[in-house]
Amino acid sequence: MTFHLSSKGMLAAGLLAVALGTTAFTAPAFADKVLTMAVPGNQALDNLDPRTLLTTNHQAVQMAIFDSLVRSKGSDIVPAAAEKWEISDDGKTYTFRLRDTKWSDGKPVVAQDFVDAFVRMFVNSPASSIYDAIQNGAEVRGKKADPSTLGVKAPDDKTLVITLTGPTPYFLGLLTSAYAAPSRQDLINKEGDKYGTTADSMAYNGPFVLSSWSNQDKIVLKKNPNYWDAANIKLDEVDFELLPDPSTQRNLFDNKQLDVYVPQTESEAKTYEGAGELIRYNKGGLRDITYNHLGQGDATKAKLLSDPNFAKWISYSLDRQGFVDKVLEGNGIAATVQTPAATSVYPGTTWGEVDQANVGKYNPLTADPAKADEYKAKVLADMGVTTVDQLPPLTLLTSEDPSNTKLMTPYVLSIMTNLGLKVTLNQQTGNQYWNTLLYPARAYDIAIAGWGPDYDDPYTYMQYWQTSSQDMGTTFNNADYDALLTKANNTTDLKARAAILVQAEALFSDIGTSTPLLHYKGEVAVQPWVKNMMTSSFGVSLNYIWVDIQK
Amino acid sequence: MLLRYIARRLVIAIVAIYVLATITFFLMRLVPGDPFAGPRVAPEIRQALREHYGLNLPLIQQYGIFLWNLLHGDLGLSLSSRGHPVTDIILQAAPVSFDLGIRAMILSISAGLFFGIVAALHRGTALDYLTVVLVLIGISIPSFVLAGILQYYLGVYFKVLPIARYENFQSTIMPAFALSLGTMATIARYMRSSMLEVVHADYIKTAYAKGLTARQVVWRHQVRNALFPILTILGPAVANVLTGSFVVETVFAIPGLGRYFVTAMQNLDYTLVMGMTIFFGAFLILMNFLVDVAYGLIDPRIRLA
Repeated sequence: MTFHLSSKGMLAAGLLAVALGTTAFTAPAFADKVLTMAVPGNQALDNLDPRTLLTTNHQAVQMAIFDSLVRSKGSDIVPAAAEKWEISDDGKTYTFRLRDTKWSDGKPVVAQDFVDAFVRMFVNSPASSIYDAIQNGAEVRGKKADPSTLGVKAPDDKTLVITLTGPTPYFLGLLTSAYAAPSRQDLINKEGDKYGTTADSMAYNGPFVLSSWSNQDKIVLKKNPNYWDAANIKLDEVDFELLPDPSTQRNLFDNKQLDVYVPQTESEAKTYEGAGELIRYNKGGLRDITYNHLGQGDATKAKLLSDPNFAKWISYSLDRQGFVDKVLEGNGIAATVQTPAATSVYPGTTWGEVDQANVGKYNPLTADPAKADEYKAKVLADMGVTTVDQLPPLTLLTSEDPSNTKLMTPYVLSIMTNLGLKVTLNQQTGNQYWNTLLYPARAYDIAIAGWGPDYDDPYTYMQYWQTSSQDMGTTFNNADYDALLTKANNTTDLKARAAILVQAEALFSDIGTSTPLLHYKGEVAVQPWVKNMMTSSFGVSLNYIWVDIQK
Repeated sequence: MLLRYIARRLVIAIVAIYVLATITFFLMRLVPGDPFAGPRVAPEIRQALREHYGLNLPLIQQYGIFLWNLLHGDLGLSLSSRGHPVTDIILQAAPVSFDLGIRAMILSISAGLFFGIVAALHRGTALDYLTVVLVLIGISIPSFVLAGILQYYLGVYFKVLPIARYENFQSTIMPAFALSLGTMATIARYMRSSMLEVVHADYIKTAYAKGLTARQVVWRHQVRNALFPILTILGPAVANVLTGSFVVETVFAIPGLGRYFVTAMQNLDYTLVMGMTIFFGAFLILMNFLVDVAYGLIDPRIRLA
């Protein structure tokens, strides 16, 4: 039988040929390199103006769209908007030479942009106390000095001079934060309250620009073609999707639709480790028990809570190492001093190396019932009572979910109850926790609290215990401690400074208002095609700027 | 006459919203705490923020400003979503919640009525007991359990539906189903008992006596009369479903209103809480009004006096 094509058949064949032909001629499109992550913190980011900083979640996006003077790259600090800098011999004056760069709307980045940013930081921003090393910073914030006296000056468009109150070895690390990024005062004046709420309200100078931002849904960053280092930026696009539920994130990660996932438990982490998809890194941060030495105005409670023997009694009853090994399955580090061992204290040396004498000396790694009983006897004698149930009842403030046994609260509560103390739990979430803990309320007897580092130096874990600090609802007022920290701030010799800080750590561990519990271990699962993801122990944990996607 | 009725209901509605807004305003301020509390927040900055948002003015003055702005349709700036007007937040999120809610309601109503009618008509048989059991399961399963199970099995294991986000038709299926189940079960339960009650009425016996077939009796009389109790619960049910479910929206990452109900309160965001309360209150009042009008239209015996 011969094969005839009808006219319809001819048309169909013709169309088919054209279709095949065009696909054959279409070169395979090189897919854009897109990194898809969940919005950090699992809650919508409301405002991306760097000066409205409240959490590192915002910084995770800000660090990509803004370029500060310097930038973190793994454990190094590399030039960014500044191409070189000099530090004076007394460590108090930093002179930066800016490179020739432009904002995303074409205007050049000038030194005045940095001055405007720092002034705004001290006048408006909640967390400017982190940068109090800058001369007159605290005074400008307290309205005791005019903003023009701030120690940040722009002698010309390409030079920025920052003057500090004392040699601050961690200052350059502070400048890597998006909080210290330059800003456009003209746009702020134009947009008012709206500045920072939409992609169009700001201009960008970072490796990426904010391309689209649906506040409750998705943030899209696109590579900035005019970035001075664009050649080394491999990603074309970074997507942040708002995924409030961690289980949803896990499902998307397992379905290969999400590139990064932070495991919720150690067993989850181990499954990813088995597949070679887990990155473990040094993560700063501390979890501790804080005592209110003012006892909320009750004299008996104040006496009990201020007694160092009371804190020691509880401290020696805690099995920190056991908790880490058995409950956290190794996902943590038992903390016997405030500052994590991996914190850098001067180049080439970590805190653990200089602070060895203090480890385990004031707080034990495992429980020591004999010593705990000794301290118990001392407490009872100090309080003038004979049995534990004659001690006043106390409340334990926490923001943690008390039913989640992977967190410290149920463990600490059970230890205290086993000692015979009458402790009730006061769980507060969100802002209510801060309202209860912080000055002026300080409505807690004992609180499960903690600290996240703002820079890689022990001082970040120590500075808020000073008498002048009202942060974290602290009630520690000790002149010797303040003197040690002031002395450390004015010491140029880094080794001598380290020794002074070790003394301060010893003093606080002995009689301070806080007992350390836990330091963190960081772990994150990434897809196998995500290369060169870097991590940091302070500020934003994941540094995705130089990531490459190789599928 | 309908117009007079509407006018009267409108006045009552406005008064109701005013009372709701006032009570919520003062109740919220009774909650202790400062919306701007947080670690590292310097006291001077907290003061400055309170001044910026007018929180340092006398309470009565703040109340006056709030009412004045409300009359102009301005719900103020959110305290926790810095720089975002509350009206914008609600207007952005509400359509998504509405969309999801409408799909869920269609499912609830159609399936609920179906199961309720079928169970009533086949009372005492296996089908009836099966429906009762399904209803029990539907009411009892917490939505986060159902959502999680659906997401894992249909999204990850069998890979037939998208895991999260609200992007296309397929991504609406799981969340709409998860959201619909509770209301579906309730409607089925009420419809079943309502049908069984109506079957004893005189007019049903008369209809059978007149010689109508079972099918005619069921569709013309039994179902239509049994629908009235359903209409009553439909008002609040629609309002609840359409304004977003915290759990379903969280699990499926849907940018709706649901999460604000929880987070706004946790963050002590006075303006957002007020905005949400007024929005939900107004919507509920509207739904109840529509139900009452529907009653009047459907049942000629009810006069909208």
